[in-house]
Amino acid sequence: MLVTTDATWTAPKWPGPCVRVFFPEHNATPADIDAFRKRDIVFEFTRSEPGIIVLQGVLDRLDHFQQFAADDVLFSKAALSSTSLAAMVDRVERDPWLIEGQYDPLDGSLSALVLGRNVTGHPLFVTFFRNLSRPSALEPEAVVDSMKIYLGPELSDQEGE
Amino acid sequence: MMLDEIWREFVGEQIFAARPDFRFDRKFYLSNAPDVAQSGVDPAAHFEKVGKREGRPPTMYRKLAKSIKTLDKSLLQLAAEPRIREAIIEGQEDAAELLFELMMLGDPVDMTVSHFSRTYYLLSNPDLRQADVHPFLHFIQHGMKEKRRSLNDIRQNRYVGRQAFDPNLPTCLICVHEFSKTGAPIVGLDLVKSAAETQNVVVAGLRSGQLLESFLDHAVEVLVSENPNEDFPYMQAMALQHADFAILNSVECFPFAKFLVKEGVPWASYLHEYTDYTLPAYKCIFMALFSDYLVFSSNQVYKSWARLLADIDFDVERDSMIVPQHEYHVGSVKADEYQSALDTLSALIGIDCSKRRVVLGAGHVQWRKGTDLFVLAAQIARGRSDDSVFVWIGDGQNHEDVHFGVWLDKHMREADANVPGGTLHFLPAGPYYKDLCKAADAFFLSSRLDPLPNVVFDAAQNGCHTVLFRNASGFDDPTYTEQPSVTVVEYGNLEAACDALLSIPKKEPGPEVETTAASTQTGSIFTTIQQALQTRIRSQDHFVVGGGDYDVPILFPGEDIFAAVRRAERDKIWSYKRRFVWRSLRAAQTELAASDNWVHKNSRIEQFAHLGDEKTPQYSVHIHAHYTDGLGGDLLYYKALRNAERLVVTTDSDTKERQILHIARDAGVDVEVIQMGNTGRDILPFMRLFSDGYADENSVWCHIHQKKSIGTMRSGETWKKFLLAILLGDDQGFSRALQDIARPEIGLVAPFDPYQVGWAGSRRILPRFENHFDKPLPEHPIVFPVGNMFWVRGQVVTQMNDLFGPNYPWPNEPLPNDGTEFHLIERLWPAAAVLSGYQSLFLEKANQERG
Repeated sequence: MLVTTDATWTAPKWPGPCVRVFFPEHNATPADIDAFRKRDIVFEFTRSEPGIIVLQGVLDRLDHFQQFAADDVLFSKAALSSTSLAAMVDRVERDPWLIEGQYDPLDGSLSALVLGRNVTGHPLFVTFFRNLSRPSALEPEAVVDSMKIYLGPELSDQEGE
Repeated sequence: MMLDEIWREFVGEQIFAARPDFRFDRKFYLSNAPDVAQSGVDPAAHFEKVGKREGRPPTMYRKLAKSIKTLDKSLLQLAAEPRIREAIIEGQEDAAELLFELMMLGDPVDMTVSHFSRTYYLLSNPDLRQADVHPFLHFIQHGMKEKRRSLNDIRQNRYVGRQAFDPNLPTCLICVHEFSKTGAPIVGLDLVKSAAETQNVVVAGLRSGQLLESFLDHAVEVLVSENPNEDFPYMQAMALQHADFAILNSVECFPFAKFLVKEGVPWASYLHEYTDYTLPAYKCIFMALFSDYLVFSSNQVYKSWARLLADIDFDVERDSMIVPQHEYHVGSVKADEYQSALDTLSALIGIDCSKRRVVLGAGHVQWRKGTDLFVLAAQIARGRSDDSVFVWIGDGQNHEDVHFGVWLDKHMREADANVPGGTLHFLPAGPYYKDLCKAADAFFLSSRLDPLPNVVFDAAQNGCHTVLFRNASGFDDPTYTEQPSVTVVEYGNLEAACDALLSIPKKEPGPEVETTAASTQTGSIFTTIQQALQTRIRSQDHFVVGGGDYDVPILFPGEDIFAAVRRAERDKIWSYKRRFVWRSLRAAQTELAASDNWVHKNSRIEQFAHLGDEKTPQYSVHIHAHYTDGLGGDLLYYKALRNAERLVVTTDSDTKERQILHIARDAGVDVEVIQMGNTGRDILPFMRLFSDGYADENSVWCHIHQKKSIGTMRSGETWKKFLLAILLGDDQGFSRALQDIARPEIGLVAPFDPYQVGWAGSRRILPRFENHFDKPLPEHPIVFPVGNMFWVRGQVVTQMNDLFGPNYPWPNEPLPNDGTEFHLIERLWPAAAVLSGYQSLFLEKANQERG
């Protein structure tokens, strides 16, 4: 599943459904929204939100609507080049435990996050996001680090022992 | 020693480090001993050396124990942690203190060790939230005596079902309004039985009843609560946490909606009730707004919901379906059973039924079931011949019930009901029901409005022919009326009903027919509903998140603690593209601009502003003051009221007139008081200013009123402030509305309301007035002066008067809450403005609390 806040990104090659996220500043009309709904799942946020909060909202709704499947997940604020996208697909296919965050060098906000299917298939994956508080979303790097601890292979292996 | 270990176990490292001994609370001690705090002496040492001797309490428990002699006894009632409870029972020293001090820690320790939760106590007692008291101390000192609820009261209503929870199965929640052995709960039980074949089933009811044990047989957990949202999180309901979806069986399950919206659990509502008698109307509105999917038991029931669904833009095709609770089977009765049933009936009512037509009626005795019509039909039939006997089976006869029973009882006596050998009889519900179904030739469904009563299914299975009124029940649908055994007659036409009934021959006993009892046929209904809901939610491709610009209460109240769930409820409505609250000013403007309706094309929305130094035009103000309190404050506060050229106050008595003159004198304002009868709420007195010559149609007026009614005092006050702030401004300045109404193209200026209010009950009478307009009125008003306060030109008021004419028979008080001419007028102002050649302007003030 791909989650992106970039409405101009056409036909990104990522496996699974594409979730388009619109903020008020996108000025999307009802007709725009309906056009995207023909191929994508559309999320309209009534105010701009940081990436972690976007993911929290998307995962929570899709889980309740029985549409979330444990698969490779990519969140990306902006369109990625086909080369870097292909490289990401390659990395996550080879490493289902992949948790890889990318941050804006200017403000430290989350610009991309790749999660392998073993991570998203963790029984506490959606719960992890649901339990995140709004302030924690302002420190995305810390969130990604704690994700590695709680949802990564080490703890899961220990739990399995 | 064990008590200390329990303390350590529950408090966590941080608290334990600061307070290793529950018997001494450093913070508490210092707050009670400012002298010690000032001295800088170690409080624990002070207590040991001095405080103990002086009798200073080291903990809140010790302080309270001095004044509340029954404290330990109360604590024992609340103890849930088995070791602590045992220790208190054994009289172990300090055990009660340990429990008390743990409970003082609040959420989540209190609800784990005891049957008290600070959070629950505040949630379930809004008055205490307002009072800002310490919840546990309030409960232990006052709440217990006041019989306020603790977790004890709710946890005893959680029952462990006889089915084991299987983590590999999905879990569904099935809600019924009560566990009584009546229509909807029986349908609910059938749903549960069917669901249990593939699911972990949690059953929830608002009230318990005879069916509890039956529900326990099939459920993993059964919960009973009239306040599910408040109680469920504290009931230690383990299986409930896994609920993937829910089915609410009956509109009366409306109280479960809050819990499900808060938890984000999708649900289908299975609706059997007509909106006509499901009151207050908000129950239906909220069920339609928040259910992910609606299932109607019949097309007739759906039709009664159609107007309401149109108001909220409910997508009927996408989000609803019709599923009868039973299949209609026509069967027959074996000869020996038929004869036996006739013998039983003949003996019961003292007349030989073997040669007579038996007409059956059934249900709880009441207006809705048309029991009185059944009696009338029996009288008409008797006048024609004595070959029929009418028998009603059902409870509810009460000759002391002034609403219905008294009058039915009189009627029954005059109609010789229950006279041995007579042709009209009443029997209580119970063991004779099966015999009656077998003995009856005809079933007369005399109901005035009845969804799909099971008795008709039963009658059909027993070979009865059914006669029913048009538009009176779910059986008036081709599914049933195309059956040769069903006859439909004009609504309320008893002559026609008797014609039909008396033409029905005595039934012929038949061979043994394999028919399934109606009440066991709902197995597939659960699957049908589950699959429809699942398909619906899995196809959802549009989600709205964030709550939008207007944080107004819907299911949840307006307090800050509910802000997140209020966002969730708005998000859900918008995700399904339903309407109840606007998302933003832009969304409202876009929708208005997109409409091609003539009223909408002449309406616009702009942002509120205060006037600067601009000169205001001349204007008058009308205040209708049915209640006079609050008037003085308004006259003193709003600059625009004091600045009016004329200030006219209407009221309905000499006493109020004197009060108003007194109030105005005290406020230093000149008012004209005009007495008018208490008809037409606030609006007719205003319209009569123009028709009765008090106001000139070329003048500009602001119409306001006290916005007050019993039961809505607080929210009404907030709403009134909202309206007046937009219309008038405040004590310092004027609203831009004063200048807007003087714009040559504008005839109406009103507040823009964050709620999207539709025609609602006005649709009932709208057809009577639609022919006054050359072009059709809009399907949804989109904007109108919600609250009926506005600025208006006199010509627009004259236009409104003309719509109704000079001799209109206005209804008198008391009036219903919606659906009168006065509620319709509120919605017609923009249309009246257009007919007068003007446009309407609505002003948005996002930062003003709407309430």
